[in-house]
Amino acid sequence: METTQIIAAVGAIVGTHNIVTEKEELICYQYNAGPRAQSEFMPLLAAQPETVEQVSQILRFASEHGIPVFPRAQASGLSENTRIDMEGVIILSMSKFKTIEIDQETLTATVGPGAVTADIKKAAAEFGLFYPPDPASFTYSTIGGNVCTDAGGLQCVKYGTTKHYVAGLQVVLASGEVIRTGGKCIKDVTGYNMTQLFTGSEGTLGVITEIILKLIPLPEGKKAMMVMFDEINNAATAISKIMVSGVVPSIMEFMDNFFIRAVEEVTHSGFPTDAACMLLIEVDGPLSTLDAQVNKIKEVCNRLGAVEIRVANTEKEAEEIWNARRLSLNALSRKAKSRLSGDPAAPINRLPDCMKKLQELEQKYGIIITTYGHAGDGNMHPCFLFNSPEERSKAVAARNEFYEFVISIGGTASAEHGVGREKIKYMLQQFGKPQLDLMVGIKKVFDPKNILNPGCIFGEYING
Amino acid sequence: MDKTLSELRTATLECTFCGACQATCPVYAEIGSDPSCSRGRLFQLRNMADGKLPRNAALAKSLTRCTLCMICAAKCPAGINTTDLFLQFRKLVADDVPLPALKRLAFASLSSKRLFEFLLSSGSLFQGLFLRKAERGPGYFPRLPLAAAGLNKRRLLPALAKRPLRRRAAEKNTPTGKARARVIFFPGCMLHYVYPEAGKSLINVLLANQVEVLMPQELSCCGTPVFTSGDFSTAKILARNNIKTLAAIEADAIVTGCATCGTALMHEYGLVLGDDPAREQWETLKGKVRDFSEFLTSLGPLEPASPILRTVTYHDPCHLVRGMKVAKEPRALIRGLPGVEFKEMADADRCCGCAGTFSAQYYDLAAAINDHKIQKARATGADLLVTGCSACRMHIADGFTRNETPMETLHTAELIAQAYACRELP
Repeated sequence: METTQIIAAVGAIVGTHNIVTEKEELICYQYNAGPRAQSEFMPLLAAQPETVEQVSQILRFASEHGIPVFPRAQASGLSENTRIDMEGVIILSMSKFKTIEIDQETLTATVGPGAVTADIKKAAAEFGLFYPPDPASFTYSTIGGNVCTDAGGLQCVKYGTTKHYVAGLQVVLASGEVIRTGGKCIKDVTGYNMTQLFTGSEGTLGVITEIILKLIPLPEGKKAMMVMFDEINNAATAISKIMVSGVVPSIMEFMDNFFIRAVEEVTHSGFPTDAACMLLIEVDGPLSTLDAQVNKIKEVCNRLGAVEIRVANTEKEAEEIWNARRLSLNALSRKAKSRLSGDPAAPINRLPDCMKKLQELEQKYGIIITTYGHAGDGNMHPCFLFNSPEERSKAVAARNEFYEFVISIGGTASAEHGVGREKIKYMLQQFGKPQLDLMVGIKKVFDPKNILNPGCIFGEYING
Repeated sequence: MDKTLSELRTATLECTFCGACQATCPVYAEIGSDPSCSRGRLFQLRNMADGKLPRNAALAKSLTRCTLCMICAAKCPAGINTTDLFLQFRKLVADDVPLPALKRLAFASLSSKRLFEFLLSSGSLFQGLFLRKAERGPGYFPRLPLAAAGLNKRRLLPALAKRPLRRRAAEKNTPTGKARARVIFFPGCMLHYVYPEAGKSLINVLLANQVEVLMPQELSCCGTPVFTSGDFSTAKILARNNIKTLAAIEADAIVTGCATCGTALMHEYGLVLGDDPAREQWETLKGKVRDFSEFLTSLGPLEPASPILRTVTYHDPCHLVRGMKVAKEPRALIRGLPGVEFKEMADADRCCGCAGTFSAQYYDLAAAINDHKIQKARATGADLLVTGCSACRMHIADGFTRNETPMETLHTAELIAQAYACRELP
């Protein structure tokens, strides 16, 4: 089919004000978040439907003509989740689906995939309710992307990831048919759990047009603290000891020395640049319990040789800590031309082994590897820095070796960013052929013509 | 690649494409496409610098479809000063893509102060020919789409004043008794020709606070509409004239009542002047530029006596809250007025959509952005909206009329003047 015919057909569905077709504008869809190169492919068009019916019509049209569709909203994903890697695709932007409705009676929010996660949190808080998932990008990433990657964040250690709050979905299938999964029932075991199948599917199974989220009451208060260690191993041990101490922190972040210095240079937050590493911890709950929780954590950390413990005295002090933490990736981008990073996770009692492995790899390959992460849930963000093509190949080798190690000790290649196009190479090792075949089989049932975000998650495996 | 382009390209490379700008951008909120926001625009510019995109009308359009509200610059995790960057790119593109003829004509008249003065002052005599009287609200709807002058057929415009500020206030305004300070007042075009009563009220408040106010005749337009359109050479003429005039007078501060002029005098002249010889003199002046509300607060206002029984809300002009970093002072002054009930509106610092020539070029978009402002203002229950930028005021007043909202708009200085019983009436 000619490009002009496709443009005319999609334009007739969404209206000319909701379609981007000029080269000068389409070029804006060639990038993706993170330090990755510009795509060499130009999409045919970008469409911004405003109604479910329009999404349905576009998918029906795309299915009939075998045109690949890349659904996305803010495109802030970090695993090349929507990076265009082929000719002749339609970008399906969900940016116009941004309604937010809070239902106090059922403790749910019904939202459009293009709503910014921070806006949902804010709307819920007005009713004294809480939507806990907080990926570092929550002030700008959209809930559609959060659901599609089962995004995590800082508070997952206590509250779980996005999937724990997705109660129901409206989805447009590749065929254009519209279905609803789940709903506002607290308990629901009728049939397969389709809601959870779509959650984390990265736009490969259907296009989400509405999401029902569970909300919980807002905690009464919270308290933040920084704990400094002069031995990485002690900090890693402290993480798993805190988790079994009877206190579950709402946040427990780890930063190594290189990282602390990078963040401090940018934010001047008073981070201790001489510590080998640091844990940033927050507890929440009824006000009367906060001090007891803090004391319990202090006790564990002191026993493991913490060199300094600072407790934030005010909400403002605490917020400065978390803002500095959220800016950390951007701070790091000043320290090297580029980096490879990722989001693997290991069982929390194996964190000390992971830290040791990263130190070994740093020695072996002679590059800088710096690590931060949501340590409380075993999720690390090791960053392999490089400034030259030679260093880059070393970074690639070191990262591969680390991922293989993590998977071999019962860990996972992606804890919260999704597979995207970045982690396809680890799929076979993590799942083995029978399970990978099963996943590919599921994809084929939902999307027989492979038009929905093709190339994502499975790459070439999809063709056997 | 010339040096400037190469430097600008390097700045675009700082973008990590995270998308934080999209979540804050008032234009993106309406259009929703990647090229309508800074992330997309930075990427276009990077490709332009690499020669992959031509400097054509499409690129010029992308660059102009931005209110320069600075919110993305304020929120950018990578710390990119998008606004300055886009201004410099507008200049580059304007070199290759000529401005519309009407704009060129208007800018030519700007640099000849006498011609501009004549056109705007005599404009009030002729405006009946070009403008039709609005059925509701104070002002006129233009009969001709004079895009260059910031007009648009459907927009409600305040009538051009019959007597501009210069004919209402002297060059030297001396308070009775000993002066607490001596300032130069930079009125700018809007306070001079469109809302001279606000400009005069501002002078009156300063006088009531024992401040000597100088308003030299030689001051011209600050140049913002010119350099934001990419015409840096005309802007340079205006900047040099203003700097020369301001430098010739001893004063404690240079006071502005228009945040756009203030931001230009304080920051943007640096971009406009580049390595022009006038830059050295500007460096010595820029630290003296103060918004009226900031100056009055630091001076310590004398107690006003006349109660004002009104419910008031406040809109933060982009150039005031982010350009001059003034937000607390006007609020504190308003709250301090006897009888005033102050109601903070939601998203008070979100762009109102005016952005000068932007709202003429993209009126529908500017109106859609403005509608959010009107809704938030109305939700406060206030009967009066106060702000420190006349362009915002004009656009918001237009929005009130369009949305049939019975709220009045005033400059901060006019409300304060009322409390000192020295408000100038139109």
